[in-house]
Amino acid sequence: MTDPKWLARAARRAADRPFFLASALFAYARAEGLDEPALAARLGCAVESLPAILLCRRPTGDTFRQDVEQIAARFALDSARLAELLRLAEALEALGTAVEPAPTLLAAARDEEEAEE
Amino acid sequence: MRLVARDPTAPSDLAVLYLGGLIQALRRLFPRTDVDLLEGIADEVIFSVAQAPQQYLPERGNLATYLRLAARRDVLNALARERRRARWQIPLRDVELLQRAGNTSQEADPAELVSDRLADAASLIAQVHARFSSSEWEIVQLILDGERRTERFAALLGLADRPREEQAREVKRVKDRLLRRLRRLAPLVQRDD
Repeated sequence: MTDPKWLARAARRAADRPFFLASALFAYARAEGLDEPALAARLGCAVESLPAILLCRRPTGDTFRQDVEQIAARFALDSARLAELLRLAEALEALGTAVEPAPTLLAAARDEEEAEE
Repeated sequence: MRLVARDPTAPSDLAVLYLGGLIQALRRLFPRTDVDLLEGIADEVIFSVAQAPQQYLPERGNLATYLRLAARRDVLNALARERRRARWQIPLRDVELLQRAGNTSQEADPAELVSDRLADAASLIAQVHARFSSSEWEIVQLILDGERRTERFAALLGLADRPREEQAREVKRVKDRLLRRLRRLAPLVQRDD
């Protein structure tokens, strides 16, 4: 088993990878001004469980609902609440309102390219 | 394998089960190497397998061994990269100075000159590094390594499951952007002090 502090660091590092749930939930937390304990409370989990949740694959596309159910069942979360937070995160990302650290690499690349055109 | 089946909780289990052992193995293998570097590389290897699990072939050995070998290779590459960069920062002028110093040992200690220049190089690398996010810096390092495989960049960008055309387009966009930024930093690196 991995030391919780290593897992927590990896989860923070995963925040700039769109593949991981961390990218969505940290974007949401930043926009809402939540620290990690507050984010855990919003999710309805213990703060100790948060890194493992953040390191799950981010639900996407056709399997979104099924992915959410699977993650919720595994970590004893309220699936409706998790889905709601993820949809909010998606909306925030689409609106570009997620604050520092900077937007994802891909989004930044698009912004810069558009600015130079 | 649950990762290949896209079980959303599988990447988390991978990290929980293997990250700690991987970090400990790297610390044993590289006892004098910066711990942050080792931990960062361990994270990246776990992320890479989570995002592109097909790179691991079970018939060739167990997963722990695969992760350890991949991480060891990445640490060796990172150390070699740093050595190469440090060497690039020693201008020819200083090489000539070193040769002269060898003949007139009162003027300059060659070891000190090299040491000073390496310190300058490390400082410059740190300044350039500071201008990139950690994920951007990984892409920059792959570019500097001469990596050309789109799938390596796509995996880092979390695009492994996208169509190849989309991967190629997005990878090119990110690489072009980073190269433009690197070019803008050229005056910093090429300063003549």
